[in-house]
Amino acid sequence: MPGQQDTQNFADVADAHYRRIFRGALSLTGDRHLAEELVQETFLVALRKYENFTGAASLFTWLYGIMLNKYRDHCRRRRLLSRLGFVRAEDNLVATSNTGTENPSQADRAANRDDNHLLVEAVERLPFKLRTVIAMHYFDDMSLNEIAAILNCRLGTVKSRVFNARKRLYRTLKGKLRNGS
Amino acid sequence: MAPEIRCREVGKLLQTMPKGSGEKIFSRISQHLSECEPCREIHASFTKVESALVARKRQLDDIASRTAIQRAGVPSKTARSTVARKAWLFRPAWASVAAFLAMVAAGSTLFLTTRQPPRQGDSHMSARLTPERPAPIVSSQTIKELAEVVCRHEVALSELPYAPEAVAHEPLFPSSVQKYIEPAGTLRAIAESTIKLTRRHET
Repeated sequence: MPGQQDTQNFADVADAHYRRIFRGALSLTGDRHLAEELVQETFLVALRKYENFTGAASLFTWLYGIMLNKYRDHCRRRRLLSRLGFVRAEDNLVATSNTGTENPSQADRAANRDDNHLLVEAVERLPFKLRTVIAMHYFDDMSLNEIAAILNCRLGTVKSRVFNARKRLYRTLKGKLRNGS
Repeated sequence: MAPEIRCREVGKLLQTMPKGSGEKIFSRISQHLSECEPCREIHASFTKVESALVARKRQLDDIASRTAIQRAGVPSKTARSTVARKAWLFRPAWASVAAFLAMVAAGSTLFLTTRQPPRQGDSHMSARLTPERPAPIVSSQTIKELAEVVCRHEVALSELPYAPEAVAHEPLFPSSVQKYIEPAGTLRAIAESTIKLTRRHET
């Protein structure tokens, strides 16, 4: 159990990294509430394991890794519940209604919403590994090297995953997207 | 003069195009794109996908900025306070324990409702442990009747398991049928096999 000093240190660390970890969770899940839950679970695990943190990787990489594992667990649980019939298949897809932003013109807004929905669906249908790299690279603005460090794999593997993910997205969305801008 | 690029190479370049390098690649393939309609379509599709990804990123940025401001104090609060647990039933460990208990309860109920009461003279345990004897293939009433039939056809009484009551010496079948069957042999064989079977079951 962490002591009072550790807890205080950790609280500072958590406050420093919260925003970026939350952003990562949001990129992965696309759902604000789920992202908040994931971040809280992540920081809880991190608090328990904080004394085991050796500093081999950066603190952000370590926290992001924990969050990624939590998200993986969530996906597994979700898939199991879906197979057992407790969750409808369409519930697995992210509800985009609670993540909408304001756009200037109505036509553009409708087109963007449709495109956005299609894209979210297409990303959600990607396998976990490809989905992760797309979210990290495109939505979370991480470099390929950073992704390789977090996923603990080689740079070539990350490149290949990004390539495959883009290819699949292209195949899925070919001719469906309306707004090119 | 730049070497001519083929359609396959253009496709590969577009697929491997790293993020943000669209313009650089476009300058390499622009000449080919101006001449080749299918490649132009592929390029347009890729551009749309890229744009959609960028738009999505902007959207997520917006949400994150709004949410992070509201929730900036959460981690420190989480670190200091107890955790708000999820509904217990959705935790796999609790769910499996609950399922196990439900199965035990259902099994016990089924056992108690379908169990036969112990026979008189038997202890509770012996009634549970002694397997039920299978029902005889032929009931005692049938044996008795068969025995009576055998008696009618002069079977020795000593061969029977009990002494039958006196029966009238009447033919079993009408005389027109009786002459076609061999009553004594057939019926004796039936009676003997039945008696043997019954004894085997009893032992």
